[in-house]
Amino acid sequence: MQKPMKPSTIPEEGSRSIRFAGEDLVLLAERAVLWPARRALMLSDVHFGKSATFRAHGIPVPEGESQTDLDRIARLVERYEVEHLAIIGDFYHSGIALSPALHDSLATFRDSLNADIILVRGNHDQARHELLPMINRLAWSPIELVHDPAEAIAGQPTIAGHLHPLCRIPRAGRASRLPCFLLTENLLVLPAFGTFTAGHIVKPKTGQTLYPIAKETVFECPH
Amino acid sequence: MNAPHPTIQRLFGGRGWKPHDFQLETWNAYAEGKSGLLHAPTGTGKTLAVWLGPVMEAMDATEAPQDCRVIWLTPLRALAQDTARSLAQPLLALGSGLEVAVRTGDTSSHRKAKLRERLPFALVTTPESLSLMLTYEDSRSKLGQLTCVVVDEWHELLGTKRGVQTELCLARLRHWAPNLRIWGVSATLGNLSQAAQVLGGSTVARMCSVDSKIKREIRIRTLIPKCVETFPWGGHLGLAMAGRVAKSLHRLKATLVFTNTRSQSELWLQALLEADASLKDRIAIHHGSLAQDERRETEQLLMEGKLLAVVCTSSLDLGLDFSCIEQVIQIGSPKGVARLLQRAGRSGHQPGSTPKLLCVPTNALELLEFAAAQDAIDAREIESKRPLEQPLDVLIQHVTSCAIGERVAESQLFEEVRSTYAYRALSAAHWEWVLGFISNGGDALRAYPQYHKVTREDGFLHFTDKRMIQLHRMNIGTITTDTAVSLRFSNGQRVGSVEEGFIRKLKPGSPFIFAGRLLELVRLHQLIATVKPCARSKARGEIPIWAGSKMPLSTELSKAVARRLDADVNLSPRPETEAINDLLRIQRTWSEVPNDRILQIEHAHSRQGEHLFFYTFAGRMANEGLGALFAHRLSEGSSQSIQVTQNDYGFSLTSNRPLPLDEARLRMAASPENLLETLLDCLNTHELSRTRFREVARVAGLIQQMQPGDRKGMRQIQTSASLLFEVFGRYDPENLLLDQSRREMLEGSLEIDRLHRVLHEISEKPLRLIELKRLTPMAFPLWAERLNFVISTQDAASILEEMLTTLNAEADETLNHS
Repeated sequence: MQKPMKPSTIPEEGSRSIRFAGEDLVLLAERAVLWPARRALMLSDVHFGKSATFRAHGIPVPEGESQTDLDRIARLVERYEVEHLAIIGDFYHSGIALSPALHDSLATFRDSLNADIILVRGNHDQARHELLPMINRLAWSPIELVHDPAEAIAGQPTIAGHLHPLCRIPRAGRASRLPCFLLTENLLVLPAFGTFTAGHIVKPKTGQTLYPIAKETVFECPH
Repeated sequence: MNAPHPTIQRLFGGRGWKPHDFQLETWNAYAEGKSGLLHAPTGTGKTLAVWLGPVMEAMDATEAPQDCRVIWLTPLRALAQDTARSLAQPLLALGSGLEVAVRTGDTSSHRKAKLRERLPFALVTTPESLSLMLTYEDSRSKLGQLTCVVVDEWHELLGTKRGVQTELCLARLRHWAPNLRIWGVSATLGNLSQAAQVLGGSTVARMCSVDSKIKREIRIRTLIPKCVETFPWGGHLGLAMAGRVAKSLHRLKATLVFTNTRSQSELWLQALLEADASLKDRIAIHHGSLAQDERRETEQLLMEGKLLAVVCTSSLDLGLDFSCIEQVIQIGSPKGVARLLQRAGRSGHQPGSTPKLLCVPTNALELLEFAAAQDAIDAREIESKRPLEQPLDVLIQHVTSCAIGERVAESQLFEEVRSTYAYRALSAAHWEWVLGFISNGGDALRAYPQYHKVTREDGFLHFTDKRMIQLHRMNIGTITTDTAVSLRFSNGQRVGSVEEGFIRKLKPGSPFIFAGRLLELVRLHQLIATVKPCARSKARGEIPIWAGSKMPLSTELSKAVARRLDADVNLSPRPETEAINDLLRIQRTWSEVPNDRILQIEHAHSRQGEHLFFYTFAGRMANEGLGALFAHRLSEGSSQSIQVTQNDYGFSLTSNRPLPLDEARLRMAASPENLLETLLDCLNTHELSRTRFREVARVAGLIQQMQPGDRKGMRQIQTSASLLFEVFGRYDPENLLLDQSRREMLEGSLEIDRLHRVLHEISEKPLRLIELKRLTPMAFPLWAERLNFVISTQDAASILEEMLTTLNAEADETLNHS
């Protein structure tokens, strides 16, 4: 096991610590999970190159989010000084070839990051981009990382993505939809990390806890 | 006038008919090469008036025309077949050998392919279908000989994006066929001459206006409740009259029962069935959230005379001509004069019969509205329809279409676009922005030189990418539909469809009423909801709540209402106003009756704090803006401490701190200055613009409107409008489509122009501030509206009950003593 984190980098404001599979995890308001004991950062559903896919179909969506998202990841890696970064599926948005510009920014990102990157394959990751290694499931004992929660093995603590969970907060006047983490006994689902991603409202069931993110703070909504 | 044309003699003479003056006038104008707008009610021969012009011309020609001469635009595709039949009749009677065909979204692909080979003499179609036809390479040569485009029911298209789409198509056709005449047909509008101008564009020197001068008499009656509440609240009063409404159905062949919202129509279907069991299977429901097949079936049954009544919403405001309809019932507020007239006009289509309208108020103030609506009808004060100004989303779609097929010169297209009314003042800068948007993505995509859609070369536009063209064609049109979820039983049988927003709010096991059936949600998977009949037959299901109708009372009707309340205006009493005499007496005794020559403000205290009630007669939407504005200005920015409610008559402010009552402060709050800035400051306009952006993005081609089961690859480019709104807001804030959604929001969700007008009027009116001892009948509904904010409905009900008991007791005392 890696050396424990320096106290100064332990996240404070806005984040929330949970116990999962006997491990201490920190849910970050930046829509990622920190595993201090493993010095690892986990996130999912970046949908890198999404606006480029739209443009390839003749829909003039401005670029911006792809670089923004890489910068956000880089900042988190730096701030928490992690050594491993796991992206739990749908890092890419589509199978079309990356434009030279996107290819370059991704290569620069990889080379300048002080952590190793592992991509877990998602349903959108059809591309055979050679830039980053990709595997179907990742076993980080005692937790397994897979993209689709439906692929989780019964009884096996799993962290997944895919759902883009949103939590509906009713308010007088208008309800708001907030990205959230979704926790059950053996499963933690992450909110989509990508800037240009929407989501689906989840209705909490008994035994589930939702952790909506609002105003850069993770809240807890047990059911 | 000259002797009738031989064609007319053959057609009319044989049957002993005599043409109307307006028909002769239209034929002559057409023969002289003029375009124009005909104003005539349904069932008076307006179709022959515009149709026979081009027909006579064709029959007079030495050679029978081999190509398409007439395009007949109809706003409703369901009407197309019907229209084609009535156009074909005289052709047959004359033995002309001329043909009529239909092309709409419902036309089979086989039939469409036939029409691509050869077009008939006249083609009946919709704006969407016409737009699509204009993208075919050979359209120009096929439509170059057009002599006439008829735009039927122009009042339906005017003021909508479909209307602008029509304007653009007409400009294209005028360019292709310089000999083209354009004739519109419209129902009564407050701005008929403007309507003609919009249709003609600037290339038609002068549009003729032909007025049939025929006024169809309408028999209007209001069902007066046996007991009229003095303190009007909600819409429960109506349901008590379900028995009487049911009775009125039996005397006649068929009735359309119009409601204002879809949920109200479901409620009324239930109420009518409960009131009269014999109506079972003889009454049906029709609204926009029902599956299309289901709606068609209902229309068919109605046509065949198998139904006594159909409870419906605006989904039947226009459409098939049901000659069996003898009566129309309006449940609840008429909202507008033209709207009420249009609905009434759906009845009495048999020769010699008169439209019959039965008004059913659902609260006491609606009695007043029905009286006022009749005043306005008598005085011919009908609402105008304001034409839209420069919607860039429609232009983006149109210009992209124009570049398909042949290369088109930018400068020529610019002139052509500027010949329409909507874009008459389009600036070169905005035009350039549109061209950038459809070609290389404009400034926002400057860093992405590989992006391109429409090619710009030497001043020409050309769109050639086959895959992108296909995607564009699939999304032509401006109609935005909410995602529909299909309801099915577990055996796969379809029940209908509802909007996604509604069904997502239900939990599995929740009962709800749909199309008169009590159902229970089993599960929702993707866009299919499995349901089963609800076992608890006694359980009162939740009535589906669809995007609710917050339609405000029109300016014309509001003015008519205020006039009815004005004691200085001498209007003869109507049964509706007699019925609210007690209410007005209490109002007069406890305060004064407000009218629109003054601004009446009432001030009261209650357990909830201090209240101010303002009677502006500005309609619900503008009152919402006024309320926010006053709250903001009177509290000097800390408007959270003030609660605002509104209805069509006025708005109220409630605060637990003292509210300023001096005239200077109130005058300042009503100042029209910095209106826009203040509103943007104090309302959640960002959220409202975001909602508006959906339609804009869809029309501009940013969002693909596709059905479930569409090709898989398309899912990659599915996204939500609100997400795009954020992306553009962040990375392309100068995008003019964002600006457009803001403009549409200001007009559509705030009625900014009306608000402005109202503030100007207020600045010239005297203020009348009245101290109340207790809530007046006009203040009560505004006060009660507040209870929507109370967390539990039980609390709300008991507070309401308590207040009503007190007020009614005091009202009885007042009435007995005076």
